[in-house]
Formats: sequence, structure tokens, C-alpha cells
Amino acid sequence: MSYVIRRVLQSVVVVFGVSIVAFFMLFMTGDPTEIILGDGADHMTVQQIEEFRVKMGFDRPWYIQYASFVGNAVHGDFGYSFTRHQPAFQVITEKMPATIQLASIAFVLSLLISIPLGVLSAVNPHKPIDRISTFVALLGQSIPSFWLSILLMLLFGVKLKWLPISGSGTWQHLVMPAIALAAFPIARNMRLTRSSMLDFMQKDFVRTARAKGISEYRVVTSHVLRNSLLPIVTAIGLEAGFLLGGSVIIETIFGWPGVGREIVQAIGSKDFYVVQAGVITLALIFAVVNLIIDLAYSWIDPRIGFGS
Amino acid sequence: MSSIDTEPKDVGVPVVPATLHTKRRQLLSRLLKSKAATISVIILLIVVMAAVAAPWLSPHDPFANKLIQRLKPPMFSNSSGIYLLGTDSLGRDILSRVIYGARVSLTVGVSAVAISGVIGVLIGLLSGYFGGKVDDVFMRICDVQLSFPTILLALTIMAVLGSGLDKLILVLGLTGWVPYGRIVRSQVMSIKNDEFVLAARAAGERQWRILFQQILPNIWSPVIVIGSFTIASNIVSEASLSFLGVGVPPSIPSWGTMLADGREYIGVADWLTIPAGVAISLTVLAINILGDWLRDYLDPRLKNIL
Amino acid sequence: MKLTRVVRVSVLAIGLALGALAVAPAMAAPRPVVVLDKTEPDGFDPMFASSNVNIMLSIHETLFRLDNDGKVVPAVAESIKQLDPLNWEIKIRPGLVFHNDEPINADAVVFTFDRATKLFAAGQGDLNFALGALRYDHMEKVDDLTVKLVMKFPDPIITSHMVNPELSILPPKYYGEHTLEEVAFAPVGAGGYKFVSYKPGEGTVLKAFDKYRLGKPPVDDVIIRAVPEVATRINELKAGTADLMVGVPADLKADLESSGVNVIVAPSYRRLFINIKQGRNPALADVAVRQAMNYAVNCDEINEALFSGMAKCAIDLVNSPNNDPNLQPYPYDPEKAKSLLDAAGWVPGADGIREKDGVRLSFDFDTTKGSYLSDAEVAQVMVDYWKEVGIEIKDLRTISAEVSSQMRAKQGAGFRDLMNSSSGPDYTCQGDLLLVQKDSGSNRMSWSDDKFEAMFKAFSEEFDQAKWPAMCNAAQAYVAEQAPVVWLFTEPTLYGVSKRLDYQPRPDGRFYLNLVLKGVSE
Repeated sequence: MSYVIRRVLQSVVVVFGVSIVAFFMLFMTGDPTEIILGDGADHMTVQQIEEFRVKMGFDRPWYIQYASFVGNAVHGDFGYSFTRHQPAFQVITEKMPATIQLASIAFVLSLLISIPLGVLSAVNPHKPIDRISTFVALLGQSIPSFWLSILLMLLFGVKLKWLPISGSGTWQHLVMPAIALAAFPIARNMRLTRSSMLDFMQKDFVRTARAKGISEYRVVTSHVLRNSLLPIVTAIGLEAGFLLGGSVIIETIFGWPGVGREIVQAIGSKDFYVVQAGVITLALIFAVVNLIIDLAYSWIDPRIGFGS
Repeated sequence: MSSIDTEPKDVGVPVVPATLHTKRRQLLSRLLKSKAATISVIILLIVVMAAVAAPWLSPHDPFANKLIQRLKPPMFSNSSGIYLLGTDSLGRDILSRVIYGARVSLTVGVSAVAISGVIGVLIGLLSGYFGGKVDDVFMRICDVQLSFPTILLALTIMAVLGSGLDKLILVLGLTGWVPYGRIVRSQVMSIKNDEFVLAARAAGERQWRILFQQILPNIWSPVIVIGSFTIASNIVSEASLSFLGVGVPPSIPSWGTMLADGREYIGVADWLTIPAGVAISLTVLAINILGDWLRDYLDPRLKNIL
Repeated sequence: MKLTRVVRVSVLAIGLALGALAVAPAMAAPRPVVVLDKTEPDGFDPMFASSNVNIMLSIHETLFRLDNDGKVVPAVAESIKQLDPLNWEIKIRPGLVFHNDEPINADAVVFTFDRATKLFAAGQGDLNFALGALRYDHMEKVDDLTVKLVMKFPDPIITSHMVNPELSILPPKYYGEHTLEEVAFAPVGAGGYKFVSYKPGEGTVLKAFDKYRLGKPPVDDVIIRAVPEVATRINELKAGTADLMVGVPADLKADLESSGVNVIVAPSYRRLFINIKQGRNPALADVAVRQAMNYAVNCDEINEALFSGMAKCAIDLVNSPNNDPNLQPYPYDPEKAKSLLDAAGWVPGADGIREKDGVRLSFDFDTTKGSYLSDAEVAQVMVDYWKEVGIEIKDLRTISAEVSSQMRAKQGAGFRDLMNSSSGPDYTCQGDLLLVQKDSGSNRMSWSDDKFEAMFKAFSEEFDQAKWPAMCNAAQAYVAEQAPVVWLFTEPTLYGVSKRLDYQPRPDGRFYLNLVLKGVSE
């Protein structure tokens, strides 16, 4: 049990670390008062600006500001978005479901495609099916996602008219963005599955199983696959970050109303409260996903174990 | 985040001492046995040559806007043309820009890898060797870095610093060090109690000498392999950031900006994007294949983690 | 071999399933008209409008409006009468109602103007533009359909200032009983279209309002969708899944037409220029530098090459018919530019870039990409022209449409030294001059010039219309010479319109949907 507690504490520390970085982003550009007021400051007297600074609390030492930032953030209060005229956290939480939806579909898609392909390749090493899927996987890692997106759009949206080109609302809207987002993880997971499977196929216990006359199908599924999924489970946790934060481009191309697009826009307009809220929320989700995966991992892998 | 408390996996094998000469011959003969790796090396040699000899290879000035000559199709589809691969929307020669683009792409890929490699190896060495508190702190920093979506971090930094080639390299370098840190850490952990290290320690060697002279030479393989994969992903990242408008400035020819700027013309004037797209894909493909091969050559046991 | 069959069969099955789903059930009423916009709206409260003016104009109604020819016509107001220099009496059209059936009367008008004043005083909302131009003191109820507007300063072009969507008349009960957050995405107005719903990604759904002042608009259902990426917008049009897009790149006109999309090239009053920001780089405070930047640019070459001559190079601070036809644009004269810079003390350094006291004549330039026709291309050509005379653009950065609209907000607080920008027409000389007036929200340069302010003040308080042309010309000439921006051209607007939509563009590029959508078939 102590492992679980330690692991949870680590996640908390990490989210705090992210909050420090996110907090100081506001100060990197200079005086936050000036950033927020913009040229509105021109219409104010020096005294009014000073009053605003005090009102916002920017006159206090940084550690007190950070403490109050954390104190408020814990209650979901990240300040007020001055471009959206809404609480910053609300701006993010409203867009979060769309991002999570896209990321999880892409995630499932990547597993559904990459693992069977990886298995097929490993079972038929150096046969055409292996060569082709390895090549396609490598290609998937080599094409910038926005180019792939536009090509998909031209084919399935404009030429074949099978899928809506952009926006959200129906499951069809999800198909192309999910494929484009999944392309990279598909490639990586397929290669990982393949090499991990190949490795295990050479192991003694597999040879023994074969020698016992167990069918090749059973050998592959119950002996090799189960063991070789471990490295993939590790990779999956890191993929959560890629899928959540890396969807910015896909969201922009497909007009998908996600949190990545919102944060990009907020960065451009220096709406730092939204950026902070977004970054910390994403980090929190990332931490939780990885926590769950690590706990699951330790449960699967007896070497780590809860008891130790 | 996931491998934090798992036992370090035994992936490191001290390199068997061999003379440099035989090692090189071995490498070459093994390389030539793999068709894919050989082709990849040839492709990469061409790209490197293009980058080095760009001013002599380019038929036209890649920076010169010639509005009269804009959007000319490639020579083979238009016999009167003088531009082998056509021109872009400002009348610049696509071929020359692709050739010069190799410079930018390789510069970005390699320099960023150098930055993240140095940071990652240092952190990994210290973390793995000293363990305990040092390790805890460094690994949490690793986790914080991983929790920050790279593209968003890059956008934020570039929104503050402004855009430009140097900033792009810095951003990709500063955000890409985690894989090195983690792999080096686990390698160091697995060999720090090996005899040759213990012997050096018993002989009263200074800590930094043990780290850099005894341990470091034995953990190069995974660093090189990660480095090759990261060069590839940096080239793709450059294109992605160009799409978001924070890549290199639009006048500088890079494959990423060419692809991003020509995207409206896909299906209309495909010659704007296809050369850059093919260049990126081929180069990245070649680097990845070579990376795979290097991994298998240097240390097949790395397969399951890289 | 078995595998390939499995793959083939499953691909076929998926294809069939998708195909079946893609065919929408046949309906009697025409499909909604889908209009593509660039950015997701940040709310529909007109007093907080910053990016989505076109939706505001369709949901809400102001006291006065611009008709399709750009003439100011009464809307909610029926007539206006000047009582004395500071007091105006406005009669409200009888029998009008809001979408929620609240009556439009003096109370509503008074409520609206009070709300704007209060928000402005509290530093909320985006009212710089409206209240900066229309400097009223307060609005009073006279009787149920009459109000009195009391001004702080005399304003001869008061009606033109009241067409701003920020001052849309709002139903007092609804807006009084709900908080700002509640109404932000649930607007109630008096415009041609009722707000039905908004969901990011799915768009803003509007329905024709049958009790609208001018009768029910010809197109019943409209969806306005935000698609930030221009390549995607074009693909939507090509696929026939959208009906209207503004700003088709000129190079893609032929391609879209061959895909069955009408491309309408309309004259526009949209004027493009490069903002020169004051207060960041001191070199730009020098008028000689700004003039040199103008002389260095060959606008005609840009026009011919990038727009096939569809644009018009001019100093178009003021729109026709108020502009001075004799005002000549800066000719392309690099030699003149060089001698101006020489005289200002900027001498060429080793690499040809000019220097003064060890400081290089070097600027940062932000350009949009896809917001205006060939904007990023124009920016790169400008860099060449300026380099020619020894001015360096250190960092040319492209920014997305979503970001740029917010960079320009608050008098251009967000951008760096130079940024491409545009301005729609105001139909009055006084209104157009606001572009460079120091308190105006549309002055993205933060340019401020005492002599101009004096001219503008005198002009804006002049009630004798006979004197206007001379005052207008004098102001234009002075501003042209001061070069607060790099003057470029009036942009042609290319609309991509589906075959089923009858669309009438307006030269100001605004879409009051009830006026521009003339009908839809199918």
C-alpha cells in the first residue's frame, strides 16, 4: 500500500511543479498589470494603474502571489479571462470534453490498429505483410500531421464525400481527426508490439509451450502477447500527453472545438489566466492517467507489487 | 512517469573493448547487409550533401521573390519553363528552396538534439549515479516536463521570445531532453555497481572522473539511438510549428514552411507542397530506419523501450 | 490471401455504412445555409463584441443601420431631430418587438445606453470604439416612443456613430434580470435572425424572425460555423457542405469555379495598410522614416502580380465619395526613400542596413496569414522592398486569424512594430478619420498627433456641411503626409458561394444576413 501512497504523492508534487512553471509564465513577459490592461492603460492615470495593480494583487511579493494563486487554483479559480469575459477555468472546462473525446477515440483507434498489426508482423517476420506494415508504420511517423489531415480531407471529404470535412456534432465528424491524431501512436505502438513480441517468441517458456504441442495460436495469444504488452502499457501513459496536448494542430485543421485551440488562442492574446488554467488542467489529467497506468502496471507486473 | 519506481531494467551491456578500426569495419559490413539501411544511408548522404553544397547546387536564388514568375508549374509539365520543380506563390524556385531547406531541417534536427542530449545525459548521469534525493528531484523535473504538452510549451516560449531559427532550436532542445535523461539514468543504475566502477571507486577516483570516464563511455548506445529518432521527430516538429505560424520566418526556406505555406494549393498547384513533403517524409523515414538498424546493431535489448 | 479478402470486405462494409449515413434524409425545407467564419464567437452580448460582429449584426438591431449601398438609414429609430448642439430627440418606430416579445420602446433605448455607460465606467466590455466615437452623456425618456439623447460634445454625424453593433438595443427585462454570464451565449435581440443555439464546433444556429421590422428574411435557417483553417474552409465549399465563405484566395478562384462553386468578385471598401506602432521602436516616431517606408513600396507591382489588378492602390484613409480624388498615393521611389533616410541620419552600415548611433533600422513585423487576400505574401514582398532602401525586418512572424483579431484589440496592444491591418468604411469622412484619432479603438497604431487632433476636433464639431469637403481634404492630406501607416490598397473581396445560394455582397463586407442572403433553393 505504501507504494500507492508514494506514487500518489509524486503525482501531487508534479502537478505543483507544473503550477510553478505556469505561474511564472505570467511574469516572463514583464509586468502583468500592463499585459492585462494593454493599451487600456493609456486612458488611465498612473494612480489608477497602481490601484489596479493593488486590486489584482500584483504588488505583493511573488511567493505570496504564488501561494494565493495555488490557494485559488485548488478551488478551480484561475482568474477571469479578459478576452472571453468568463472565468478562465470555465473557458477550459467547457472545451475539455471535446479534447478528451477526440483523444480517447484516437487512443482506442491506435490500439485497435497497432496491436493486431504488430502481432501479424511478429508472427510473420520478414514476410511481405511484416515489411508492408512496418513500412506503413514508419511512414505514419514521417508525415507531418497537418499534411496528412489535408490529404485525408481531400480524399474522404471532397472526393468521396463520405465524411464531413470539419466541425463536430456527430460520430462521423470524429473519424478523420481521430485517424490523423492516431497516425503517430499507431506507428509507434505497432513497432513496439512487433519487437517486443519477437523478443518473447525466443524466450524459453515459449519454446517449452510449443514443444508441449500447444497450438501456435494459443502460444501467441496467451503466452507471448500478454507478456509483450507490458512495454506498450508504459508507452501508453506518455501517449496521453501527446494525444491531449498534441491535438492542437488537428483541432485547428478540422475546426474541432478543443482545449488545445483555446490555449493557442489564449497564448497569442496573452490571456495568461486561460493558459495557466489550461496547462494545469492538462497536467492534472496527464498525472491521473499515468497514476492509474502505473498502479495497473504494478498490479500486472509482480516484480513491483503493492506490498513492497 | 511510469518507470519511476520500477526496478531499472537491465538493458545496458558494457561495450566489449575492440579497436576502433575493427569496429568501423564491422559496422560497415553489417550495414551493407541490410538493404533498407543502405538505402537510408544513401538518402541521408544526399540530404547532407544538399545541405552543405546548397549554394552550388541551387539553380536559382531561393530567397529572390520574382512576382512575374509566380506559380509556374514544373518544367516537365510545361516545356517552356525554366524551373525544374516550378515556383511558389512569390515566384521563388521550389527546387532551390528544397535544397536550401535541407540546411534548415538538418540544422534544427541536429542542433536541438545536441542541446537536449547534453541536458538529458547530464541529468541522467547524476540522477542514476547518486540516486536518493538527487534522483528524486531530477525525476520529478522530468515528470513536470512530460506533463507540459510540448507544442503548447513551445508556443508559449516563442510567444515570449519571438520566432526565429535560433529560438526554434532552443525550444525543441529544451523540451526534448526527457527520454535521454530516463534511459541514461536506468543504464547508469544498472552498471554503477559493476566491477569496473567499484574498482575505480576503491582506487579513490574522483566522482566526476568515474562518471565521465568510466560510466559515460559505456552508455552511448541508447543515447545515439534516441538521438537519431529525435532528429527525425524534430524535423516533423519544425513543420508542425510552421503550420501554427511560429516556425522559422516565412522568407527562410524550410521544408516545414514550404509545406505549411502551400497547403491551400494542395489539389490545385501540388508542386508547391509535394517536393517538400517528399523531402521531409523520405528524410525522416531514412533516419528512422537507420535508427532502428543502429539500435539492433548497438544493442538489440533496447528494442522494447525505444 | 485470406487476409486481403478480409480487408477488402471490411473496407467495403465500412464504406457502405459511411455512405449510407452520409446521405441525409430528404426534407421538404431547404437545408440550412452554412456560412463559414474564422473564429469561434466569444459571446453574443453586443457590448462585449470583439470578433464576431457579423453575427451581432444579424441578431441585434441598432437605432440606425447601413443599407446595402452604405447609406445610414433609420432602423429602430424612426427619425432624429436636433434640438440644440448637444440635445437630440429620437422617435422610435412603433409596434416593434424583440425576439422574446418584449416591446421596443423608450425604456429599452434608455436601458441600453445606460448599460453601455455603466459597463464602460466599470472597465468592462469592449466599448472603446462605440463610446469613443459617440460621446453622449446620457439618454432620457420623453414618452413611450420618444427619447432625448444628451451629448457631451456636439456631434454632427451622430447617426453614423449609432450604427455600431455595440449599441444594439436590448430588451430591458431580459438583460436586467440575468447576469452577464447568463446572457453571454443566450442573446435576445431585435434583428432579422433569432438566436437558436450555439455549440463550439457545431456553430451558431439562427432562425429567421417573422416579426422583423423589414419582414421575415428570405432565408429561414442559417448556421454560422467557425473554421480557422483556410484550406479547410475551401474544402468545405468544394464538398458542397458549406454555402458561403469570405476571402477566397485569388489564386484559387479558377479551381473553385471548376468545382462548381461560384466565386463573386465584389468591389470592397476594405482598405489594407501596414500599421506602424508608436511607442515600441523610437525610430518609427520619425515621420521621415515612415515616409521612406511608403516610398519604398511598389504597390502597383503587388497589385498586378498577386491580384491580377483587382485591387486599387491609393491613400484610402477616407472612402469614396468623401475622399479627395486629387490625393496621389506615394509613388514607388526608392531613391527618394533613401535620401529621406540619409537626411534623417540613418546611414547604410556594412550589410546595407542603415544605422544611427549604433542602432540598426530594424523592425519586427507581424502578418496575418489567410485573413486578407495573399496577406503573408504581401508581407514578404514588403520586406524585400524595405531591404532595398536599407530597412531591415528582423523578425517577420505569421500569426493565425484567431490570434490576430485579439492582437489588434485595445488599440493594437498585442502586435509588435508593424502589422498588416485593414479598415472597413464608416461612410462619413469624420468616421473614416477615426482610424488615426488618438482615442479611437480603431487606431491600432497608438498614433497621436496634436495638429491632427486639432483639425479633427474642429471638423467633428462643425455642423455646416458646406465646409466639410475642404476640412476632410485638409485632414486627408495632412495624415497622408504624416504616414502613420504604410498605405497599400483597397482590397477586392472574393466570395465563394454555393450554386444554391443567392448572395448579394456589400462593399463594406459586413453581412447583415437578412440583407445579403437573398434566397436559397433545394
